[in-house]
Formats: sequence, structure tokens, C-alpha cells
Amino acid sequence: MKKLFGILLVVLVFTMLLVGTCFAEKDTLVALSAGAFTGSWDPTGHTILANIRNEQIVYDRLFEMDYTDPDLKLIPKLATEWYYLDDGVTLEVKLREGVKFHDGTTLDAEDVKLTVERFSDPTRVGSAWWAQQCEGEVVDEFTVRLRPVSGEAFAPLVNLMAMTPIMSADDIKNEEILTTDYNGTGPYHFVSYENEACTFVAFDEYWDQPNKAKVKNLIFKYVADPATRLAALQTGEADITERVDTQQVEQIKADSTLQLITMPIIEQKNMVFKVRVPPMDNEKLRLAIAYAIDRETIVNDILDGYGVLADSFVSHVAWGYAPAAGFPTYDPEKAKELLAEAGYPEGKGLPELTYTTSVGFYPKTQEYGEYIVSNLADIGIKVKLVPMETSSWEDALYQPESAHMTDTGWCPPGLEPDLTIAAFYKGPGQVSFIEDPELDKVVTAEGAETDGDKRKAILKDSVFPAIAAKVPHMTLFDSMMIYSTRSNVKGFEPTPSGGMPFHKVYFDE
Amino acid sequence: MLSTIIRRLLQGFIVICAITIITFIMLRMIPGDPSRTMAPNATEDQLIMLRDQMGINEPILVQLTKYIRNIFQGEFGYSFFQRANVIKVIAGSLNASIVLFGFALVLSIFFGLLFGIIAALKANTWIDKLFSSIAVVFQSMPNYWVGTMLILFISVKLQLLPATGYEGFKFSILPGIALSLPTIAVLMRNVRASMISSLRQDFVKAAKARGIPGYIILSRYAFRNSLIPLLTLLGSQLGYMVGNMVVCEYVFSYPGIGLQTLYAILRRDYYLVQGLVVILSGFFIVVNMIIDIGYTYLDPRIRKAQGGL
Repeated sequence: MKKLFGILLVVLVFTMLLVGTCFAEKDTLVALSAGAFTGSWDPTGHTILANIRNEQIVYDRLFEMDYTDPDLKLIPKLATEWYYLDDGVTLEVKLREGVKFHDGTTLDAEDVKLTVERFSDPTRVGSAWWAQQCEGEVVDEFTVRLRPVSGEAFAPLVNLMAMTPIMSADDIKNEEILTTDYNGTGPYHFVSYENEACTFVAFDEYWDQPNKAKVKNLIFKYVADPATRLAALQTGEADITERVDTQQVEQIKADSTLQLITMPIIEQKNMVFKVRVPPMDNEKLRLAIAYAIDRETIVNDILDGYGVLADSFVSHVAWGYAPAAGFPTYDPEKAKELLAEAGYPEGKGLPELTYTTSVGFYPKTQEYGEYIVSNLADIGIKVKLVPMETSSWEDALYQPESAHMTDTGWCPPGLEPDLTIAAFYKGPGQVSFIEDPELDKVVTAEGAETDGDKRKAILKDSVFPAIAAKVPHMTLFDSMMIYSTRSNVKGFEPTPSGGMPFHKVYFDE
Repeated sequence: MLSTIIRRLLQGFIVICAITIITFIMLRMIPGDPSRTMAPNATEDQLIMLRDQMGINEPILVQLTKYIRNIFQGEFGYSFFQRANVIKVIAGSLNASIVLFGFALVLSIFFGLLFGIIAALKANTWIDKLFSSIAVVFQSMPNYWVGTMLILFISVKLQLLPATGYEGFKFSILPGIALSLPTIAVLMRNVRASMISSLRQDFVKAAKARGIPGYIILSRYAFRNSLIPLLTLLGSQLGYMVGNMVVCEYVFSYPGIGLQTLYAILRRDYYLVQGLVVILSGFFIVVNMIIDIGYTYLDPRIRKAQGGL
């Protein structure tokens, strides 16, 4: 026995000798992402949030939204002035002089022209955000004009430029560089990508010195498991994590070394009806389902309050948000009436409906999915919930006839409403595949109105009520992003578009 | 012996070829599409272009033919999501996994044998009962739970060892312990049973009667005789450990080939999955071959049957 204890003691001592400092150094900020990176650094070659966040710190935009301002006024960044010309279609932009890319070249009008043309090129994946193809015209070294190729007014252009990373024209001409390296004008420059972690270093020659990165090194790392992300935060191996599980909130609140940050974001969670699959082409049936869902219980009880009850078809934080007239609210009696009007009194004659959902990424999807199934059973609609692994669900999501209904989330990279409205409701709308001339008409009208106030009025008075009457999507709730940081992390101000501006972060020693 | 090795290598090669083809076809048959993962809301036309760039738009058999042709030219393809050659990606994570697996294996064999022998020597005493009970506990605890508990206690509470990532050996200690515990338990129980059985054999009693010292009886007679069934057990346990390694690497966010495999499957990173499957299959084949050779070394009867080596 003595020998045994001796061996165990040796092992213990050996282990202790190996123990050293295993915590992040204070000149390095370690942040954890719940989503994976694509490994392709061309901003126009993907549409995923993890890469977009990288681009938000490596690149600058012409201007940015001031999220603290109720009107979301624009703050100049690479542009010093911008205005529509008399034709009401062409946006002229004056650029800041002396701005350097990370490779040492200087920003000029050609960079902006080629960026816009590449992003809005319909063959590029990144054009998914652009409802119209646009072109640029170099007026002089620091003046550029941007306009839609169609010659028709394109109201979202200004807001799109508030989220579009400005790339170097030289890189755009050389795709090999664009896909393998980041080269922006932003506060951090890219160093490497290895083992699911992106490493960045502060850019000393950043043009906006008051807003330069405060922590020298940044590691942004993909860790899929929420429990592991929290553990890394608790041990000090990481400083910031996103998408904290609601079950972890109390634990974080009780831990003095951590702090919790909650932020309503642009993401909305929806139940989408595949309208090409009968009987989901029946508007009354869709409305009956929408009125039968007890969303308040979902938000308050299942999500523990970490969500915002939706009352419109864009998030509360979106530009142009207004409550939608006629937005369905929980009313089982009305749902039963609508079901009868749809031709299925008490659900008679209605086939069992399939409702697909994902597991492993969005919080509590299966839990609230089961609750929705019970809500619908209460009015006589039989629904089969089909939980799917994320990749399989994602593949099925964009197939027109993969189910009767599906759960989905939508987190565009900016607060421009057309990123949601034009994508989902202008035919053929994504996921639902709705094609409706009335919806097309109102969505086209709002997209062509470059006067901000008039555009907001069209959204409120025409677009949202038209969608509420047809509900190709039933918006369940606006998501709330839950972040946690070490308590010595200061200046972390995530944006409502899901952005994590790491350059503002500093450590309070 | 040489002919055995050559025969086993040839068999292994055929197995790897079959696994490669089956994996290739299965990956493309299951739902999910890497282009969709990369650009969820892209249009169908854009996805077709993306698939063209990825080389996955052609019929499966055409893709398979190209893939096999490329393998013979030393090209294992490209990881869609890591934007690097599959060999480079695997090589980048192999080191971490070798350290983890090696450490877990050393722990398993050392403590499995040690506790098993002690339990056998102290059979039916309180020590034996204690060790056997601990083994049952180790065997019953799921890896992910053990991993989480180790993180919470050792990393979070005591702040002794890091919980996530890999930057050196100390990052392998906790996942290594989590990975080794079930194997320690299995080995311990089997060593105990095997040793008790050997110690009761007539040749052990005869050795005692001849006055041979106890430690020689233990090491040269009883222990060596117990090794053959243990070797078989270890072979199957290694496969089990590789499976568990995926879970451990996920829980500890440990950047080894287990985590790579999991992420690659979830993202449908076809060529990376293929490369990883070949590596893991090769590992199993080599391990089984070593175990077969080990039999012939340990058991003279097998040596004689194979030509008197």
C-alpha cells in the first residue's frame, strides 16, 4: 500500500509541476464564437455571422448607424459626406483622405466602386443582401457615385453601405488574395486562422486614433458547446462569450468574476409556412395557426424572458420598425373560427402537418416547438414535430416542399429592413417561397422610396399590414443575445445587429 | 512473421479502400450541403456556382473517380471550411490527439494493471472490494459528465489546470484523465480476474513448491499468462477510446482530430471527413496488427503455428 501511495504522490507532484499560468495574458483578448468560420475571407463569398463579425473589426464601412440614437442616424467613417443627386437615384460619397489599408495602400474611390460592384454582383453569394445590382463611378480620387444598374431608385443603398466592408480594389482584382487574407482599414488586422481560432493584432496606423484597438492582440475562437464556453470564461481562459444558455444565467449572476450583458438584436425567430405545399397555400389556415400560438408563454416561461414578444415582421431594433396592424396575437377562439373558414372546422379533413426544427444552435427550439404542437392540438390541428441536426435542417429549410412548416431564425448583418422584408416577402420569398403580387407591389414601393420618413410610413401603413394579412411567416419573438464577460472586461458594447466591436474593449486592472 | 505482416497490410489496404468508398457515397447521400452551410441564404444559382468551386456539383461516381485518382497522386483534397489541404489540417491537429491519446493510454495501462494486480493479490479483502467498487463507478460515468465535472472542480474551482484548448501537455491532462477512467476500470477488472485465475493454476502452485520467489512467480508466471486475453481486450478498448476521444475533445474544446471529425461531419466538410476516416481506419488496422504480432511474441503456441518463429 505504501508503494501505491508513493506512486500516486509522484503522479500528483508531476501534475502540479506542470501547472503554470494558464490564463490569457492581459494584452490578449480572447472571445468565443458560437458559430464556425468558413475559412474563406472574401466578404462576398458567404453569409454567415462569425465571418461577418471578423469583417466588422478588420474592415471599415463608409458610415455606421448610431445605435444609441432612436432614429439610428449615420455616423461618418470612411465617408465624410454623402447625399443623393437630383435624379434621386445616385448616391454621391466623399471619402476621407489619408486612410490606409493594412497592406499600406491608400483608400480611394476605386476601392468603394469595386466593393459595391462585387458585393451586389448577383453571381456573388454576398449579393443575397442586395435586392438590386449596383455600379460605381469614380468622379475623382476621393469622390464616388453609386447607383443601381436598373436606374430605379434603391432606398436601402445608404443603410447597406453602413454594413458593407470596404475592400481594396487591388485585392478585388486578385481573388487569390481576397479569399486567403483580410486586408481592410479597420482597427485590427488579421494574422492567422488555425484550429478554429482567428488571431488579430491592433493596427497601429488606424486612421481613427481615438477609436483604435485598446487591447493589442485578439483571438476570436469557435467553441460549439455552451458549457465549454462558460467554463473557459470562468477559468479566465476566455474574456468574452456569446450565446450564453438561459440556464447558465443564474450561475453567471452569482459569480462575481463574471458579468452578464443582454441585448435585443435584429434576429427574429419565425414559424415559416411552406406555401407551395398544400394546404399551406390556404391563407386562412396560416392565420388560424398564427392565432393559435401562445407566444407569451414561449417568451416568458420557456425562454425565461430572454426574448422580446414580436409585434411586427422586423425586429424592434430594425430601422423603420413599427407595430404591424393586424399582427396575429394569441386567440384560440379566433383561431378556431379561421380554421373553420379555411374549410377545416375543428381540424376535420386537415392532414397531419409536419413542422421541422433544428437542434443544437438556437436555444430551446425543441421545447417551444413541442409547446406549439400542443397549442395547435388544442384547436384540432395535428402536427408532427421533426427535430433535425443543424446541417440537415438548413438544407431542408431552403427547399420549397420539405415540410408544411419550419422553425427558423434570421439575423441579417444590419438594421436595414429590406434585408428581411425583400428577402422573405418579395416573390419568391426565401424559405416560404411565397409569390404574391400584392406583397411584391408594396415591398417594391418601399424599396424605391429614398425619403426616409416616407419610406417608414409605407412600411408601417402598407407593408406590415399586407404581410399580417397573409402571414407567410409567423414571427414568434425577437431574439435576445446573452453575452458574458470577465468582470475586468470593460467597453464591450455589442450591437443590435449581432456585432461585437472588440476594438472598444479594454481591461480594468 | 513477415508473411503475416504483409498479409495483414494487404487486408488493411482493402479495408481502407472499402471504407473510403462507403464514406464517400454515404456523405453525399445524407441530408446537408456544405455550400448551404457556407451561404445559408444564397440563391440556387449562387449555390450551383459555389458547388462548382468546391467540386461537388458533378455526379457522385465522377467525383469518386476523381477523388481516387487524386489519392494515388497524393492529393487528399481541400477542406472547404479551413481553406487548406486536408493533410495539412489533419497534421495540424494530429499532434494534440497523439499527446492526449498517448497520455490516456499510459494512464489506462499503468493504473489498470496496478490496481488490477493489487486487487488480485488482495482478493476478497476490503482493498479488493474498494478497487472493484471504484472500477464500477469509473465504468458507469459518461465521459462528457466526467469531463464537465473535472472542468468545474479542477479548472474552475481550484484553478489548477486549463479547461479548454491545447497549448502544451498541461492542456491534455484533464481530457486525458476523462478519457482514461473507463479504460482503467475495464482493464483493472479484467487483470484482476485474469490474475486470480492464473494464480490458481497448477504451474503457479508448482513454482511455489519449487521455492521460486513470489515476485518472479507474479511477473514471469502469473502476469505473463494473463497478458494474452488482456491484449485482446486492449485492442477493443483502443477503438472505444478513439470514439470517446471525440466526446472528450468536444467537451474540452481540445483541437485534435476527434473535434475536427465532429466539426467536419456537422459542416459536411466532405474531403476532411474522408481524410480523417482514412487516418482513423489506418490507426485501427495498425493497432490490430500490432496486437496480432503481440500474440505471437507472448504465446509460443501461436509462434509455432505460424512457422516456428
